[in-house]
Amino acid sequence: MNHNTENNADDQLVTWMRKLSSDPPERSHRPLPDPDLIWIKAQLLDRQAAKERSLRLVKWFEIVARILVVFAAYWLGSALANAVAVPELKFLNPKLLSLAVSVLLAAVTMLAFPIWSEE
Amino acid sequence: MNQTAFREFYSKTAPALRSYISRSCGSYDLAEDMMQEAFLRFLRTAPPDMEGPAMKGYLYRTADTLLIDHWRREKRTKRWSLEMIFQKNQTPDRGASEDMSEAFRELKPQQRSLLWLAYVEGFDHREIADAAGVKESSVKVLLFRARKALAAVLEGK
Repeated sequence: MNHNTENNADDQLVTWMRKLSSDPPERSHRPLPDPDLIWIKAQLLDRQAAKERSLRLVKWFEIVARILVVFAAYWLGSALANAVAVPELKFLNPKLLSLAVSVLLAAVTMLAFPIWSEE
Repeated sequence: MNQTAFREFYSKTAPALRSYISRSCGSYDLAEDMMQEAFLRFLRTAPPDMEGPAMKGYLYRTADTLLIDHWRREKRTKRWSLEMIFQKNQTPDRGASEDMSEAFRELKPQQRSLLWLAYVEGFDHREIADAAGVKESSVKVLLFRARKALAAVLEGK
């Protein structure tokens, strides 16, 4: 193929490509979707993403708070067990008692926290 | 980009983009969905300092990504579906426009987008390189190959 023939073939391809773009497929006369709707949707998605980003920090705090609550509950439980050292209840193991109290407190806090955070 | 600028950009680019996607995927309804998704992603992820051809290039690149995702998904779902068996018996209404679309679809995705950007959008080599994510120096060769591939497809028809 000489240079002129090559150029001729290229021209044909260019013409074909232009025809491809200008010769619309079926139903292309249908109006384009409203750009304002796309704009609003993008704004809403951006806002939602920003909200999720800010909530991520709150969720981390929530996890840390729950861990702290468990430790605090255990400490409080053992303190209570020592304070309420009733002689009649000596048969109860103080460690078990403090554990029971801490589990109870932690459970109450865990159950209550989502309700508080939703409010 | 503000809403008015977006509206203007949309009215300039949407018809050609819709045509490009529908020629590439073969479904007009799907093309419309993908076009909207491409604009949505463009609005949410395009760097704010972009302008002119770079914006268009970014939009086409996003559309190409969506098309590739669609083909991958389609390949996965079609592999085991009855659609593949029944598809052989389908005889759709074919016009010249459909023949052109089919020839265009036989090209590789990159070849399609290079040819479209060069001959429909009128991008220069640097703009094509930015839009297609290739080196500027290789655009000429890639375009040559794409033209050859299209010529081969058209000769076979």
